[in-house]
Amino acid sequence: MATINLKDRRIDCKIVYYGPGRCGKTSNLQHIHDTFKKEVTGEMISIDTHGDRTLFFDFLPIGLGKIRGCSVNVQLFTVPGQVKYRSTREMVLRGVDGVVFVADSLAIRREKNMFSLKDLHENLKKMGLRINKIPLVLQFNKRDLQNEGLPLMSVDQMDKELNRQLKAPYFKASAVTGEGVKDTITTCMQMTLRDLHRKFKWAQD
Amino acid sequence: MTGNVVLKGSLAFIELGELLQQLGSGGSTGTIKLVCEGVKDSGYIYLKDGNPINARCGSAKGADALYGFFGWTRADFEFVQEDLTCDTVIKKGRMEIILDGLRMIDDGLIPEIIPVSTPRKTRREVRKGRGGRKKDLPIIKGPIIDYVYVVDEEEFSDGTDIVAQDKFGNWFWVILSGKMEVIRILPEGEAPIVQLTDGAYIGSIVSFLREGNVRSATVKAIGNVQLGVLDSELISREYAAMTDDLQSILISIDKRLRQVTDLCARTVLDCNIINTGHKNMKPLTSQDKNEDTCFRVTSGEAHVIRHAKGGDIHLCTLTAGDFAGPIPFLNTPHEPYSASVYASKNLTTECFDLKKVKKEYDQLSQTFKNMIEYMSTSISVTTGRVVDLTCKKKV
Repeated sequence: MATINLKDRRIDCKIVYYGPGRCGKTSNLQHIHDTFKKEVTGEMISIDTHGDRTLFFDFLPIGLGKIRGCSVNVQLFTVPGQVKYRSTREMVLRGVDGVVFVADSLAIRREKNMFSLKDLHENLKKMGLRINKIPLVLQFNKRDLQNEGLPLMSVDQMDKELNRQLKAPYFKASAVTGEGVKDTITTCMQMTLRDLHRKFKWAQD
Repeated sequence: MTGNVVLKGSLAFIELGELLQQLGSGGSTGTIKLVCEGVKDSGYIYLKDGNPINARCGSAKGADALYGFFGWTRADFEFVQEDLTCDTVIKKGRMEIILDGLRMIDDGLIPEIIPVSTPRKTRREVRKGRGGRKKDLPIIKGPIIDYVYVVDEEEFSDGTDIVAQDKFGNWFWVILSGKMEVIRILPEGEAPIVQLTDGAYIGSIVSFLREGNVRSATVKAIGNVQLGVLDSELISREYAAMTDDLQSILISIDKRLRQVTDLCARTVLDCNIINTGHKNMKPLTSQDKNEDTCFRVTSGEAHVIRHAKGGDIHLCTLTAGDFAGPIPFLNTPHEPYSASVYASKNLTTECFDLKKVKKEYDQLSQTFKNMIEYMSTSISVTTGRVVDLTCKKKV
């Protein structure tokens, strides 16, 4: 749940990048951090967790304007994929307002995607949140690997297997080249803010 | 601390990470005082404009002290708003400290301090029938968890039987968080043996691979528990690649643990376990003597006897394939220092190359080493409980 910082007249909301280890969550955030320099308000914090990195930075999206005089600050996080980082994962997910689920397009990572989505579902449930209610965007990452001859799942297959019930918006992406990264985060931010509007009934005033 | 307390509460309700975020988002300046039962010194975190700039606890100062507080999960806190005079020694931002602190907890680098006098109350703890004994149950904590073999997480609620004695099951788990109770069921009744917590294993790998997958005890959740499912295929593969010598040692440890668990159950259920049958047998090694002979039984029987204050206790019987003596990577309170070994008339033994076995052990995965260490600890703790109960009965 977003928090309102009355002193600074700022609404802090949280978007978390979730997905199996090595799926490209960090590359997504790295690309956002490097590309949207004007909108990144703080330093990127990188914690070396085994097999993954946990990233965090503040992001002040330009163009979203102010809501009832408050600026909107988006805190972007990645979640460590490794099972053992339970405390970190729980803290990062606590109070989450929007989720980007990054799925790995490599055919051999099919099951990892499914396990991770199930894990997200369960972790949200523990916090009283429902995966089909929270603003969620799916990203099918690593599409560029097709050019290198690696076997990838088709977008249709991924949509069918991961998104059949969720019916969330999805994007093809290649986080290392930046393709699809902006569309993913922009859509997730728009959905998140719409959801906050609805929850706080800001739009009515 | 001269200012007014503006916020107070318990970290059991709001975690330190959340508290720091909360105070941080408001740009607060002042001191958080932490008081944790079981820790002599109070802890202090100094915040300036919402960011921790210093901390102290006893002789620990700065970041070292601050990260340690992430393990104080049940401490009481109070925040005093005041101007600070201390130096800025912590330069990291609030969120970096929080994420790093949590990472250290998950990596096992910061110990969690749980006051002994404030255990979580669970349904089982208030259940009637075993009250007096339950308080005495020893708790076994496993080694730091190696996550390489963990393939999934599972949650179980209070009172769930994770495994049931005499039932078939082919899952192995390591406890990620929470507490469980091991119960052995005998014709005389149910006997709680020990409690298990983080890092302890559920399921015997050796018996699964060698003797089918019949569970030898019931294991029940006390409160909610989180378990890591182990990759049995990887474990089977590693076990299959071991030499016969190392395999036989693991089988033998497993047998010992089962026998000692059975003995503990009989002690709890007030059966007589004092033994005199060995008096006519030939002693092979004597308790309290520093002997380093290690051998394997090839035929006949050897009996491991603990000479305790309450009388002689027959800990286990060794048959063909079992080892006796001090294995370098095991630390069981049995022979040679804490028990004697007696031989049946037809006992024959052989020596085996301990150096070779030790070298092979060194090459094992951390998960397997952890399992061996855990089995060895379980034998120690369970034997200790048998001896304690026997001595108490005698008194």
